[in-house]
Amino acid sequence: MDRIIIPKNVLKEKAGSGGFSNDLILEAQEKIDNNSVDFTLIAEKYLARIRASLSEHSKTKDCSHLCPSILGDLTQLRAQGAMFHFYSITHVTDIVLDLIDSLENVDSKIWMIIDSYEKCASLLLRAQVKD
Amino acid sequence: MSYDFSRVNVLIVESTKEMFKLFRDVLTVLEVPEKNIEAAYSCEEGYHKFQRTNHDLIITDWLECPDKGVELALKVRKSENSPNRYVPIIMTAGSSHQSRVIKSRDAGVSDYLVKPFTAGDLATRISRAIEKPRPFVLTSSYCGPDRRVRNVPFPGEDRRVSTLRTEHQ
Repeated sequence: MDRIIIPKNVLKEKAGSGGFSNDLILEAQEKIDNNSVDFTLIAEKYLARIRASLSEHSKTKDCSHLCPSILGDLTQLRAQGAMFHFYSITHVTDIVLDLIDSLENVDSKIWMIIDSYEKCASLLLRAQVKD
Repeated sequence: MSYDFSRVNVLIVESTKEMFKLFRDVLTVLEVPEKNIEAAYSCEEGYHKFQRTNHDLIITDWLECPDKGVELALKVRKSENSPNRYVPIIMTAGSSHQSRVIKSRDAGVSDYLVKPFTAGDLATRISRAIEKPRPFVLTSSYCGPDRRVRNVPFPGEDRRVSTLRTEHQ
């Protein structure tokens, strides 16, 4: 039967009141800003997968659909780039994802865009261009 | 005085160890004890751990290939063997595209956090889960927080008032 439930607020019962102080949030932000993760290794894994999809596409020439894993890899690159200091990667990936989202049909142009993106992102990584 | 997270268990389902560690470090500074933060790296592992521990908060990545984070949310909300269908779920993703937000919302996700995020963004969502939980709507096709977050007039019957029974847990 359809119904509305007001669940017991277990989280509130356990955490109580008080919120987060500004000092705590600033300190937490410092953790993000000063993390020492080497994004190059993470990004290379995603870019290698994109390269493999591009290579597969060049054999089949099937332009009718975009492999979901490519979108996944692009989204992860966008998400993690700036978290790990590579704002440049997030920025270029953002542009490509916006472009893909705005297209109504998948055709050969999109593969050309992804191919150019892969070259650009690889170059940014190799040259350690972060901002 | 700030929140006391000493009894709060958090499950973080992420796609990489590095992202998990970043979340863990931020949450630790926000005074969530490290021992209370558990990691999972897939929908299946995440649900298995949730069944075992019954965490008080789930933060899950979208988990590409495809939409595994959405699958996790659906399992938590709809499975017969879910230990708590009402647990707050924060979905994190690298895209704020409308289709993703709607898909997450329709899977019963409580909140949405776009990466890259700031500590303030994360703290705001945790505070919202604690202070402003929404009532749950249970129908044959949906189980999750009330999706109508804005109080705006609309044409037609208000079925929440006329046909839905309200129960307190």
